[in-house]
Amino acid sequence: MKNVMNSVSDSHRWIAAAQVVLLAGLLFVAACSDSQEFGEKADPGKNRVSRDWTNPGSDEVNLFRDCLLSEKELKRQPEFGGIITFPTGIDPTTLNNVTRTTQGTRRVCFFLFPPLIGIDPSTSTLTPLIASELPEKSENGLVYTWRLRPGIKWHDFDESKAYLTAHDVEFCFDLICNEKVDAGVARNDLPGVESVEALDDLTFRVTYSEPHISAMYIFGSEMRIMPSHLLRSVPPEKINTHPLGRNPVGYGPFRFHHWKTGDELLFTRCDLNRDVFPDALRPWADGVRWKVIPSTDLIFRLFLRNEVDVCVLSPDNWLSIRKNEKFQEMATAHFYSVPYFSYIAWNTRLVFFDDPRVRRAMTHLARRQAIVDSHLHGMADVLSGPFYRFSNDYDESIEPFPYDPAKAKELLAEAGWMDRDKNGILEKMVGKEKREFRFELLYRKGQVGHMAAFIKAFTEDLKSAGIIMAHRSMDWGALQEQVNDHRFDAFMMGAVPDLLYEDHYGTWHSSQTSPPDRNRTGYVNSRVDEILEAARVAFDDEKRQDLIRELHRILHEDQPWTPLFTRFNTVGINKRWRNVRIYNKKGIVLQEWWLPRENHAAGDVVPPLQEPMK
Amino acid sequence: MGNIWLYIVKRLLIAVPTLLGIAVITFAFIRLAPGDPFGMEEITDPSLSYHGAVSVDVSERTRKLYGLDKPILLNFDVMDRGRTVEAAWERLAVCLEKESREEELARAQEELVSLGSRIVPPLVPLVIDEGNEAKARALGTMLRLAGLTDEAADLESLEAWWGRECRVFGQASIRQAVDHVISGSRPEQESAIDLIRGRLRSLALPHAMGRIDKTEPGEARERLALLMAQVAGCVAAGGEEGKIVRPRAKESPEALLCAWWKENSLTHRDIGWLERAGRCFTEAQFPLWLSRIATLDFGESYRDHRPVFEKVWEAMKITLSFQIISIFLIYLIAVPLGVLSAVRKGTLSDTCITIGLFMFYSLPGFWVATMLIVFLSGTVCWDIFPPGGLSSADASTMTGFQWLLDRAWHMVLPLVCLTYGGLASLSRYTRAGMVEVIRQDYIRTARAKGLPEWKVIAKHAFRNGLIPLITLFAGLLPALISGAVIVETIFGIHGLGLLGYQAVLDRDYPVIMAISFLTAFLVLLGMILSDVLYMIFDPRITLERN
Repeated sequence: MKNVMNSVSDSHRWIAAAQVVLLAGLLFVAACSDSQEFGEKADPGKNRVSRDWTNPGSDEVNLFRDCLLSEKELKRQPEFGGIITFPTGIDPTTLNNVTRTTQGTRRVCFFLFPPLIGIDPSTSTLTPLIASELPEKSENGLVYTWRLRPGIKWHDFDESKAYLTAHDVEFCFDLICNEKVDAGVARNDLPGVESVEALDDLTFRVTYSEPHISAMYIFGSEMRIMPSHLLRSVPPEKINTHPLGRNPVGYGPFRFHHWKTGDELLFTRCDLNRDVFPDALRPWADGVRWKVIPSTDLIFRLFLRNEVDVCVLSPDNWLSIRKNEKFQEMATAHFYSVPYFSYIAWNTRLVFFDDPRVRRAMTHLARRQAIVDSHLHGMADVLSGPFYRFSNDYDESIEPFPYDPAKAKELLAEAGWMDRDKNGILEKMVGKEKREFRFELLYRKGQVGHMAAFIKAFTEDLKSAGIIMAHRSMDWGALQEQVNDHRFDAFMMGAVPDLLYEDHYGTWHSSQTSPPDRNRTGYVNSRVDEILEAARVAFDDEKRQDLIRELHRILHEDQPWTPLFTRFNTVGINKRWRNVRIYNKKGIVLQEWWLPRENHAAGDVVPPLQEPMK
Repeated sequence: MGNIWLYIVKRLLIAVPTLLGIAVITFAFIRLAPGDPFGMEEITDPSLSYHGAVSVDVSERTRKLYGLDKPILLNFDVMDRGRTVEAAWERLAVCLEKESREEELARAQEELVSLGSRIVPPLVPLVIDEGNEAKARALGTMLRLAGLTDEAADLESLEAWWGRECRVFGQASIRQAVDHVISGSRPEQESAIDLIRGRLRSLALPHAMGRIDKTEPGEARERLALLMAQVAGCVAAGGEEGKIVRPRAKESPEALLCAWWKENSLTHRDIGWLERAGRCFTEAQFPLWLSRIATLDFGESYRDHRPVFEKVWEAMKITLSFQIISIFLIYLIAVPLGVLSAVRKGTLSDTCITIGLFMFYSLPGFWVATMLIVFLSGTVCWDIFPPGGLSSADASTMTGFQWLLDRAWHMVLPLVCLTYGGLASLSRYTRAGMVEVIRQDYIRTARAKGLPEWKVIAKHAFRNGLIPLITLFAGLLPALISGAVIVETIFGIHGLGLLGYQAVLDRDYPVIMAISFLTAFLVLLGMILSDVLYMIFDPRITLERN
């Protein structure tokens, strides 16, 4: 036994020795790599990418990629073939169109179950997809009559002889409303819809409880359709686990091929409905493959090896690709804006943030532009209001508050926050009690790069202004719970607004201020209430725009949120594909892509269809 | 040998309460963590965090669908929910006597009114007997609120009202009314329907539900079901549902009524204490989960509705294939190295092996994985191995042998990462065991009798030094399935580690529970196995007390 003990203490010594050696090695490596952060702080804007947009609000931005090609190449007719491989961090939840939940799953389901209408990427207007035209609206705005394109076949048409009909839509709406079906998200996506009623095989009527500006857009893009001829006899509680969720039958431009969980999902082109569909649903590629790759770093590496065709580039990737010969040779890089922005929300119920001047001061203390220049390399815009930068709601004439500590100090003093006892922390008398300015910022765990840098800089700036900000990173679920309960001083989050007709009612109306409603800041303004109520029924686009722009102005003055950035998605796309266009707001539309014969690779062969396992 | 079996049985029996304890603790911990499995959106880019896109109403509904609205471990609420009319009345009486604030009184009153006409038969005679004016007034008010009487709320008119109505509210009258709805003549039917609609209301439910079950399907049954569904309020359009949800008009009133009764029967009939005690267990999440586990049903995942067992098995196949190969490699490399350094104890080669292995041991896995990828898969120099994944893009068109080769080629780097860290400890154990054995007298004897050195080591020393290694193997069992989160993430392998990690982020309770339960089970199994192996291989150890 003694010997064993000896050798154990031996091992401890060895471990210690080995660790010293290793540590030295790591230090050496660290010393050799140049520290990017400091280098850039010294010269902000060094790596700023110039954005050569002729018109920043325009929809087709960037280079039309194919301008790199020769004249002859450009004239070539599109060819069928090839499989577009997309990386995805995680499998879709289910391909059951009614019970699906996440955004990623929604994008995947689009190819099997295209919605009634879509947004034309080049004009940003609504365009019918499987509907034959935009619906008719009744006088009172409560009833919409939709018509489907005739002759759309379900993918199992050979056996079932089933066409997509209005009865499918009605059946699915009933399914979504059924309590036993786990379709909570689907229900949530169709607010205000009272009933769906099939009038004949192709026409159906949607009735709403109250008129709403986005009623048609929301229903048209969110209504989920499943094959009623396969599900009608299934009891509702069996829908959630029905095999169709893993082996779906759709009607879209692509047909389900196979799904190996954690590995890949493959759809192949289905030309059953090609004659009926509009151009937006007529793809050239033979298939779309989603490859499940959990790490973003790995995605980039596989992209460089031609194993995936598209790759989201991190800000650091974005810099490094210009020196990366391999990348230059096989891919092109693009950027486009996506409907997303980040913000900090202030709890206006608290003594700290009940004064708009204080909230404005907070915004003046945020180095937003500096972070965009140094960490995002210019690939983001600082916002003046809590709206998506490229939506019609955003008023460009309003300038974001600049970083200005002097102005902030002035505003804080006006609001009564001063450092009277010279301890470096601002205080204010509230009644008879002296309150020091200390609060806590909540944010989601795992913030890296620019967000981490922003929080660090913000904490320091606040401190030098006499405000102590603690910050706590939380797991997403925990953060969500706390924010929904309105238990916070301030929190940082992102918002994904609708592209058209975003309804700001829930976020700002005074009736929504008690938990768990969505006006978490507790912001109340009677004019804002009026605007929000009017905007919901402003069917005239111009009138609505005026209202929302007034809202923007008020929110800019009051700053219940400090809006941060709208970022640009930066992607690399493999050069082998032709007709790759980049649209602002929508990104890429892969139905347009085609693959020249000479660029085919081993992964472009559609594997034979295996019999689905029972 | 009999002793061994007895010992194993004993240990297995002890394992049952241990597992139960582990399950209770994990279950409670997982459920106490904040967050909700519904309305969580996974976000691949960590700087993107969404609004809670799903409304709270919807998430409540979903929670109800999966029974997550029930208490976690035991449902004491049911003990209380099986509330009798008398208990509710006592609460009201206390409020009256203490002259409590109006809100409290109103709450107590509301509770009674919610019980509907059921309060009439037990309470009215009780109050009349007691003769307390204040209580009579309170009860009278409630009856008026419920629309059962129009008379003034005082003791006298209550007495008068009861004098007229007491027979109507009797069991015989209820039975008769229900019978009349089913099979009475037309005028009998109409008056019975009026009676049930106007006065008996939910009081008729328990009996009517029994009758619906017993009656043949047909017009009469449908009539009663529709009537009772209206009384219960589950057929009237809209009801308490939110705006977008409408009751499915296509479902029969009977189906709606049955569903409603299943949920609300507790408030409309008296249940005994035995049933209540039973419900304390059956109406809580943990006992329900446990009873399913007992039948090896791990439930279905909240995330994608697939059976948890299928998901876990899918991931386990991948993890097992990696871990088994890596453990095999660890033994294959570490044991000879350990023997070598024991035999050459104190020499340069011993020192080199030890330093080398401990260098490996100290290298962090994520760093090695990244370095391997950077240097061996084409980022910087040699492009030999793929940087991740389990198969190439065209794997589905490959033949069997090509596929196997492709898979093996993808497995090399992850295997290196899983293997190098384990070498040090095992080789040290081997070395320690061997060093001890080599000093024994019988080794000296073996050498003395002139055996070649390799034979001394391989035959005499190694076999005896092997004992700790065998017992160690059993301890590795849980490691087999726990997977390696970091390696799996970096190389994009969907094994158990990644599945468990993702399940925690998604709050996918059934998956988390299944994985932790299986791990706990394997740990216990491994411990028993290692004890037994020890006993089998080392005759000096016995399991008997003396």
